[in-house]
Amino acid sequence: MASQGEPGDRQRRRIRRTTVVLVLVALAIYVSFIVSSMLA
Amino acid sequence: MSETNQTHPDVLSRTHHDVEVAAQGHHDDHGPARGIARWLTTTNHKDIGTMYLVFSLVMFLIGGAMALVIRAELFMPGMQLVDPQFFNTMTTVHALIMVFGAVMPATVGLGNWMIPLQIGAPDMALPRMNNFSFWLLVAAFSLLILSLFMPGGGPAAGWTLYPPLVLQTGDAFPLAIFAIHLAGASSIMGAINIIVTIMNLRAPGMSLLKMPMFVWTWLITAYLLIAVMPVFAGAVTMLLTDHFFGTTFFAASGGGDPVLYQHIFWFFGHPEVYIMILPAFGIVSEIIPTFSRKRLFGYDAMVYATASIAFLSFIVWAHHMFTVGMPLAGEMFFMLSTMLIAVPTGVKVFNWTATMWKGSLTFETPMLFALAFLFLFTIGGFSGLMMAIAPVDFQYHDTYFIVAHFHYVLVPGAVFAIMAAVYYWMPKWTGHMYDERLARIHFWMSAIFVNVLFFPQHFLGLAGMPRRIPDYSTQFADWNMVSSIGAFGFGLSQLLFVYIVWKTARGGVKATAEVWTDARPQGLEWTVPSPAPYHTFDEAPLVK
Repeated sequence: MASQGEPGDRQRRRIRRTTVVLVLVALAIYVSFIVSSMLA
Repeated sequence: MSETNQTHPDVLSRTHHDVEVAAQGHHDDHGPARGIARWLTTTNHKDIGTMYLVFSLVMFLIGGAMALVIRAELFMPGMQLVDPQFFNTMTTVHALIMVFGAVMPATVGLGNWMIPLQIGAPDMALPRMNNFSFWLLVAAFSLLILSLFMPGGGPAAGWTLYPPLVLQTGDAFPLAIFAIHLAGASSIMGAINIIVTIMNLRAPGMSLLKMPMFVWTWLITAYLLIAVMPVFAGAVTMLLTDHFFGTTFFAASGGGDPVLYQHIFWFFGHPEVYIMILPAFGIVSEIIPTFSRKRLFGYDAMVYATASIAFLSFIVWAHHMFTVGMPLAGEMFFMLSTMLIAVPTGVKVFNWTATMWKGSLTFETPMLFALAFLFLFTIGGFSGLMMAIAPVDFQYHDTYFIVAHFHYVLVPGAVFAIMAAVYYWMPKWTGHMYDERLARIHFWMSAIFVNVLFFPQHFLGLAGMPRRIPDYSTQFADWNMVSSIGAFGFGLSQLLFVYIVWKTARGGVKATAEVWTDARPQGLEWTVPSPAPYHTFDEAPLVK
């Protein structure tokens, strides 16, 4: 069975993709609440 | 019933035998670094989990000391020990420390330790970010505590930081806001790490509906964190710009509205309650089956109930602000949606009870704390239902009844569950059994004093005693004295907890891999030796 210690390239790409998406979601929520408060 | 549902119990019950355990094959050749460098630079989930847990215990003691200042002042009517400004600082910083510095980091510490062990992963997916998010938290709380020594005193407007009052804070204001930003960034990074780990590093064969309940509750909690921590960060950023850059988000003089802050804050604040309690639900869902010697009743229903609670937590926020005035339709909506939370919560309480039904029960300390959680959290849930009724809440609002309610949810709720988890998993972490006799004394003292401390606050609130007030009418004297005696008893009991943890870490009866051998606990964490080696699951276990 393959070692889990070093994630493979595919797994590494999935980890990076999930991380980037979640960071962008958090930033988008932060900005959207401030902008909508400006417009309120 | 789905196929997944049918196979789930079998899989977990076979983990001891069928899992190709690689844990024993850990790297003996590269252990932890030596000295302080190990703790500063570690990327190991067990080290970081330990640091989170120790940090939260220190914060629990500091926040607890602040609570004792509050209760000492309230021991008798009249002003005794502190001036009103400092009293308000204590209520504010006690809450901020307990919420963001004690309860949340404790659950993050448990998650760091147990999630990789429970899903068969070698570590968290983003280990360097894991280290960074921990040390960011240390920086955040150093700033917050140092803000107490700034000219004008620490923040004193309550943990909700409502404007315009909070804008009157002295030099501590920017420090406190920066501290909250750092703590929020730390939480978001922790949440991202947990989601990425669970979604990408589960052992082969472990589908989502085969995950342990603790992992499930943390996955849902992490999504909640990512959804609402940026909202709180946005709110406090706007406070900062209102204070220093001339904006008027929350100032009526410039066309803003202070009530807007309350809406934004509670859009974060209510899910925050579930951020603290959902991992506690997960812990209890691990412990009750073990000491009932049965599988968890209604696993799928528990998962869906957790997700339902998380969803509902986004649509109930204005029940915290019925008295600010809102259209009747709004009050009706927030009243009824709040009551709806009782349904999935009731499913959980029913399932824990059904798990114990006809089980072969034993009452080791983790089970005692889990049972106390079940009874006492439910009391907090019931008083929550009372407050959900909008017209009745007009009487309860800002009284000690509210203080009693949320402390029942958070102390014998979240804190008891965390203590249950520590007793349950500590032998796995340290390789030693804790002193059962002392632990039981700790449990009974905590369980008795927590009720002496908080139950009378229901009476005080119903009689009209307001919260966040350092002095009170003599009619409230008796129950305040009882409550303060309970507070000091509860505080003293926690010193025993510190001693038990210290003693267990230093030595004791050796724990087996299964720890609770005769209870045959379920899950991958019990397939690795005790103490868990520095590196576990270097090769993926196979979950059938």
